[in-house]
This record gives sequence, structure tokens and C-alpha cells, in this order.
Amino acid sequence: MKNQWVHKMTGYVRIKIVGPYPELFINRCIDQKISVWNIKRIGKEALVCSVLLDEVKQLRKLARVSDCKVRFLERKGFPFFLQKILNRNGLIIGAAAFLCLLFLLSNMVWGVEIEGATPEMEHELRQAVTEMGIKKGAFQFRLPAPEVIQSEITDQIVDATWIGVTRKGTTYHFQVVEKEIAEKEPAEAPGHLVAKRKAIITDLFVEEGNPVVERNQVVEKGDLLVSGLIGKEGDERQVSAKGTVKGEMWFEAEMDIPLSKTLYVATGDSHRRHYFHVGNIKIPFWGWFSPEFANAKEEEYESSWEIFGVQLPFHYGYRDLLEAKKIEEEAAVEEAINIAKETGKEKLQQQFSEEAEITGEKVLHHEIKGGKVKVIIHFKIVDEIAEKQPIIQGD
Amino acid sequence: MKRLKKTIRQWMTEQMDLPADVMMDLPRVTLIGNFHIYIENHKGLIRFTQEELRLRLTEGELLVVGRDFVIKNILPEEILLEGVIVDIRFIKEGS
Repeated sequence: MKNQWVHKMTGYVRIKIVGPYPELFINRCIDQKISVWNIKRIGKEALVCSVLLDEVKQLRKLARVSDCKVRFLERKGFPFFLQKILNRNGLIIGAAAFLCLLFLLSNMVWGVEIEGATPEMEHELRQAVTEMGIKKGAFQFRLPAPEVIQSEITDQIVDATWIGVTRKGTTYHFQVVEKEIAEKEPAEAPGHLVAKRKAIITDLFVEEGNPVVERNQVVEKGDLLVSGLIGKEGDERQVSAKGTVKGEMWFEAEMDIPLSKTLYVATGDSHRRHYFHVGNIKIPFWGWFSPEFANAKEEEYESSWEIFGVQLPFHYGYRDLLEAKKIEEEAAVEEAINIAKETGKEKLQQQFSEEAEITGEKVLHHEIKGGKVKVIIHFKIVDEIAEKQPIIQGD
Repeated sequence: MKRLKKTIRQWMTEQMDLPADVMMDLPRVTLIGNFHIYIENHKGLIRFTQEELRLRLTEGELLVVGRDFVIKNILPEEILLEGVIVDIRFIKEGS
């Protein structure tokens, strides 16, 4: 039995067979391997059945032989459906018109967007673009490619550094980068650069002015570093001295670090026991057997489980057992000195600019007194030492 | 001769446990409820109306009686009939 769908694709016809003995016609069909289906008796001498469209031609001969008349009743299946559609001109014209319209409309310009431009420049750009023909309702295939538009428009608009042109579907995007005119720095009052601290000069960079100090020279506070007077002696011009002068400074810091008698340090060995908390009861469910640690520290963690902001009465948690090791008092002192160095650095750096650099540190002295370590540390620090000082007229 | 052949076939069917429809060219009739009947090994239509289907067999005829008969499909040796089946009868040749 052939599939119904095969019949529908190839097309079939319902025929009426009229004759004194129509069963004979059916038998002949079967002998000829013509597939016949849905046979129904209507009236005394008539049968109705379905036959494939391809095999209709053979029927006429068979009908003559078996003394029957064949009449076509219905045409069914895809070929007939197609014919029916083709016969309706309106439908085809409509579909074609729709496709045409869709193609035309999707190839029109429907928007021009300008980004990053000031209102004046946007107006200027819009005018230039409209002149080129990029406006609502223009056909895209009559316009040049975005790259061409880009180069032309960049030439036209002088104030823009760069104009990026992209086409996204039916919209043209113009991305404008405007030229920025660098602002002139206001003329500074003439002045010298002087030292603000006592230091050894390590680095000297003069943009403007006349340097009067050298590298590795010791300067006191208020000493002149860069002079604002340039030119020959007697014929001097006043300028605003500019530059960076870096100097090395020394500081002594005194710090008290509390010293605990026994310091414990985690060795890295740990054991985790997992718990399931129900209310206030802890139920361990993993890691029952913890190793024996001589010194241990416990750390606990509890998660909280919530649903819609309401805390659930059960949650998960764990307890870490960290193995600890006692460290010697001597080591403890060393530790304390290290801490002192760190905190000292931090404190010192707060007093200086961000560019300040600590170049050296030295513990001068440490003393254990009443559970505390008193540490005196010598720091070397390099920072900007130049400070502006205006030239007083008539000096 | 024909009778001898038939006797041999019948003997083989009995002795060798072979399906009778294959060996002896008999019709195989399958009924699904009372609305589908599937007949294999028929030898052609004799009569077909809304209430009656008469098929030629190797020996005699098969008569199916009922209502609203439609032949769903017909092939050289098979036929599928749809309708309300009331009666199936074998008619001996000559009777």
C-alpha cells in the first residue's frame, strides 16, 4: 500500500466507472499493475475509485476492453493545486508586487544618525550629507559606498578630525571626532624653584630656567635650585622656572610593636570537618576522623540558606582545624621588626607625594621592654623637593 | 496428477509443520474487529457492492457480507476491505 502522501504529491483522480460488470474493470486494472484504491459502489452499474494521475492514460484502453465508461469526478493532489494557484493571476501579481516593494523599501535610506558632533557641526554635516543625496527616501544603490562617502565627507568638513560612516540596514551612521584645540596654559608668573626640605639631589630635570645646583649636592631648606633668571648677566630675562628636582632624604622612625610571648604560626596542615546545621544542632557528615595536632587553631564557617529573604532553619558549615607551630622568642622579635618596617614605610609614605620611593631602610636599634619591642629604623626616601617661589620685583 | 500433487502437499503440511497458506495456496484472512478485513491470496473480484464482496479463490469463492463496504486498497493478491462486516462465508465450487 502506497503512502497517502505519495498520492497527494503525484496527484490522483476520482473516476466513475459505469458498465454492466465494473468488477471486471477493477480486475483488469490489477492485472495491469495499476494501483486502484478507495473503491465504492454507487448504484447498480457504477463504481467510484481513485487512480494515480500517471496511470490515467492506460485506463481508456482497459475501459474499452471491459465494456465500461470512465468519467472523471475530482482532481486531487499537488499538481492540480499548483494549477489552481497559477490560474489566479491576482495572487501571483500580488506576491510579486510584495517582493518588489520589500526589496525597494529595504534598499532605501530611512535614517541618518550623527553621533559625537556639536549642534553646529551636526547641522553642517547634515547639509553636506543631504547634498550628497543621503536623505530619507533615497535609494541605496544610487549612493556611493560608505568608504567613498567617508573620504568625501571628511574632506568637506574641515573641523572634524575623522568621520566614520557605517551603514546599518536602512540607516547611515556618522560618527564624528571633532578637532580639539589644545588650550594654552596660562602664562605663569616668573619664579624660582627652591628646596622645601634638606636633601641630597639625586636627579635634576630642568624644563625652563637656569639650574644652579648639581647632582649629589646637599641642599638646605629654602636653597635656590633652579633660577628663573636666564640670559647673560646684567641682561637677564625673568621666566617661570620649571622642572623636577628629586632629592634623597633621611628619616628616623621609632615604633613600639607589642610582642606576644608565644607566637603560633600555621604550618599549612589542616583538616576540615563538614557539618549540617539544624537549628542549633550541628551534625557532622564528612571528615569525622581528624588527625591529632599538638597545637591547633579552630576556624568555623557557617553558610546561611535563604528562600525569599527568609532564613532556612538548616544550613551547611564547616570547621577547620589548623595545625599550629610555636615559634621561638627570637624569631618572634624578628617578626616584630619586620612588622615595624612595614608599618613605618606605610606611615612615611603618607607624608610624601605618590611618586615618593623608599630606597633604603636600616634598623638602627631594637630593644625589648615590657612585652614590647622598640624599634628605631632609618629610612632613605627619594621625592620631589622643588617648590615654587615667585621672583620679587626689584630684587 | 493434480490430485496427486494436492495430496503430497497436504501430507507435507501435516508432516513438516509448514503454514498451510503457503503450501496449499489457500487464502489468509485477517480480521480487525468487525470493520477491517484483509484477504491474501485471492484470485480476483467477482462482485462488489455496498453490502457484499465476493472473491474468487483457488478453490471456490469467499463471500463477505456487511454494510458500507469500501475497498481501501487492492493488489494482485491482496485486498483490504473496510466497512461493517457481518458474515464471512466460504462457498464450494459448483454449489
